[in-house]
Amino acid sequence: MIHAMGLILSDNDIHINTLTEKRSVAALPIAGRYRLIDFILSSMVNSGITNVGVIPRLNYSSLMDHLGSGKEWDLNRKNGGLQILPPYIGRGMHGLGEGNIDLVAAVGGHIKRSKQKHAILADGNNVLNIDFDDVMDFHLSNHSDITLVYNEELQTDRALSAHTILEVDQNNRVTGMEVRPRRPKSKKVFLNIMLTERNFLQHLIDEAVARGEHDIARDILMKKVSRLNICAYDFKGYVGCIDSIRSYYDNSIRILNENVRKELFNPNRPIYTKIKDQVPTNYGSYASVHNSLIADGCTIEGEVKNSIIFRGVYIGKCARVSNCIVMQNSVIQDGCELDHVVMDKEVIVRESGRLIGDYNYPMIIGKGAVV
Amino acid sequence: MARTECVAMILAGGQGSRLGVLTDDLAKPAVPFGGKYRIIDFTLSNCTHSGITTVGVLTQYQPLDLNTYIGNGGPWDLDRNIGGVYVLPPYVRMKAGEWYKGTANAIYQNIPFIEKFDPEYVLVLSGDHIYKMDYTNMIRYHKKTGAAVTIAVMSVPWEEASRFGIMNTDETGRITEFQEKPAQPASNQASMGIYVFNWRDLKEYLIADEQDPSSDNDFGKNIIPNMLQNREEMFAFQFQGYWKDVGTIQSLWEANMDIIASPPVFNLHDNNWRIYSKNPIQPPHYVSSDAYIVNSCITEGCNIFGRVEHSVVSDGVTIEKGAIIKDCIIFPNVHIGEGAILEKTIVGQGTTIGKRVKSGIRESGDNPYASDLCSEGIVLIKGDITIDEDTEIYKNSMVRTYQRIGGGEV
Repeated sequence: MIHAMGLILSDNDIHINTLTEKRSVAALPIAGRYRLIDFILSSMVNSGITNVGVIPRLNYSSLMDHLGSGKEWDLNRKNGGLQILPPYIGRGMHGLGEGNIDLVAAVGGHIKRSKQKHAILADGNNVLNIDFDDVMDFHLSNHSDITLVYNEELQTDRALSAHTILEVDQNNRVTGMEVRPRRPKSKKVFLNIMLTERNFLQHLIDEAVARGEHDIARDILMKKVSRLNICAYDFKGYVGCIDSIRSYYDNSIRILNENVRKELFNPNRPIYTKIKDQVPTNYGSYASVHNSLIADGCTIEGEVKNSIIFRGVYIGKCARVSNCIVMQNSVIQDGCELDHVVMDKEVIVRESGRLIGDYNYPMIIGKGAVV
Repeated sequence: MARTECVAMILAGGQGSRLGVLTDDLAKPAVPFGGKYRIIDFTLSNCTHSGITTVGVLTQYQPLDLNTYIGNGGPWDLDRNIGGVYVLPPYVRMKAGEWYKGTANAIYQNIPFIEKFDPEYVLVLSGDHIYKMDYTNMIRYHKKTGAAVTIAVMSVPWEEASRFGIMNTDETGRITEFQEKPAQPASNQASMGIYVFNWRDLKEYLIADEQDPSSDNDFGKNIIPNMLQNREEMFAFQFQGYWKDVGTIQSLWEANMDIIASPPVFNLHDNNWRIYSKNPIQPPHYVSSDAYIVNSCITEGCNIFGRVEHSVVSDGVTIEKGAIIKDCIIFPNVHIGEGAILEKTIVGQGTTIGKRVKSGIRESGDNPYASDLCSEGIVLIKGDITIDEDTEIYKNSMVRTYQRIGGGEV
């Protein structure tokens, strides 16, 4: 149990084709029944955090619908609980500003009113199950001003140069930082998760705003590396950072790996999500399912291989679905053949339809399409 | 307090002894059903969908699990400012405490609870029936006829009619006669144990019944016959659809099989009448490359590496490689070891089935676990036990405590 407030930035300007056209990246469906934000949010809740603010930016109605009152995360509290902190565009030019500093500055009142000593600020696009108790222990024992969480084996196929890379000495101290370097000096990828004292966070943000700065990594952390004790916590668990269609597809399929599933869905630290009261999935007489993750509420009459099937999907007779990600309530009618397709919610593929993508270029079908 | 038109009272205190080891330490309405439900979910969901949001659940036998399951009623949308769901166990009064002596006595003891809401009607329901029903139609019919009580009935096959309480009605639907389990039934209209009473009338009968020392304090045996005798207006409400009393192991097994029949005899894939339950917090189920699943239902948190045919598998179950289950009901968090073969077996919550265990495949005249409660080849294995590797359990068995005897045979 830790005494900290959580802040989740749910929209960090990542675009994944049509999948994020109408939703922020944190609201992206993943792993059959979750949204990306469930992982960081559940991690916070399981660490005893009861005050979580979610900072959206654009197109956050799907995120709000998902989070509701926070009941499923046990965050419908009298004190604290879940708060969605929509952008506030006031005279101070905050709100939809140019970077994450502007977004955090806009919720300064919420940060000020919170009572916890520490604050955790995290992006909402990592698939991980992290225990913040450990991060806090690390933070305190290193007398750190700011603790940054990194991972050395980031499961992303995009080059390291898409990330913020840390240089860390043997005392866990961050000695250098580069944002999207062409030639990364290490493999330590900053996960955009940081822990610091709440008042100090507020101070850093205020100071940056006064200087007209916009990016936390570039304008605050990088500039303070030599002046503050910024330490880096090596998170050794599984991380899937979703920032492209490639990483979305790969990290989805990786959940079929038993070890990854065991790490992410640790029964002692469950991942919570919105409940849909779906019935168990029905398998018909000719169903044939191999190496796949199947959520509730589906009816499966056909063949499914190496795929992730979300809640309420129908797969018709003699349909063949391989290497696909099929989101909620989609219908794949009889005799269809699908390979390497990422299908958004409520898509209908008409009888005997044939959609073939490639591993290097999965076919993406937008929400509600009828094919 | 705002007035409530109709209060539902769910009778959930029965011991359910015919369910054998399933109700050893669990009230019958809390017994798992259909992969992710408990039996009482059906009645509670029916109430919510019917707009009846003041619900009393009368518990008395092994109430712990049932009480914690119902909690504040959130999963059924019954966490309300006005009304909501209340668990009502018997309690000690000024002079002495007493158990619920019968179904009617259970309501009698809760007269003060019902009075708090000052209802026009009281809907008496049973917590151990599997069905989907819109009670508003029945209540509307009750108002239209102006009856003192309306009893839901359904047509049952004539050959089974003698197992039910049979209502004989005139052409207007007025009940003229009631026969409890008649040898020679005069009609095939069976009471479903669902009653709508005018509260004022019911209260009078409950008080009178309580003063009769020879009474069993039971709705079917006392209250309904008394009302008939006094020529109260009593009407039968025709229900059409699926309804099953899951009071026996056989009927529980059948009802589970009804949801996986093709097409389903009882369809749960119904977005307009969802059955709510306390959902397990589990990831989607995983089906491995070696698995084979047909004609079954599987839910969250399962890991399937073996063969599953025509079975209902609840949340958090692992079925290892080479294991075969057929016509089975597997309750939550069961582990079935490699190479185990189970047929027509109900495995209780949290039990571990060892490698190569065989169950329900052969018959034996010398069966240490033979039970009158298990017929038609059904095997019932209690929850939270471990069945050792290479054990064989014969058909028609009920395993309460397992002890290894000799060389693998039990």
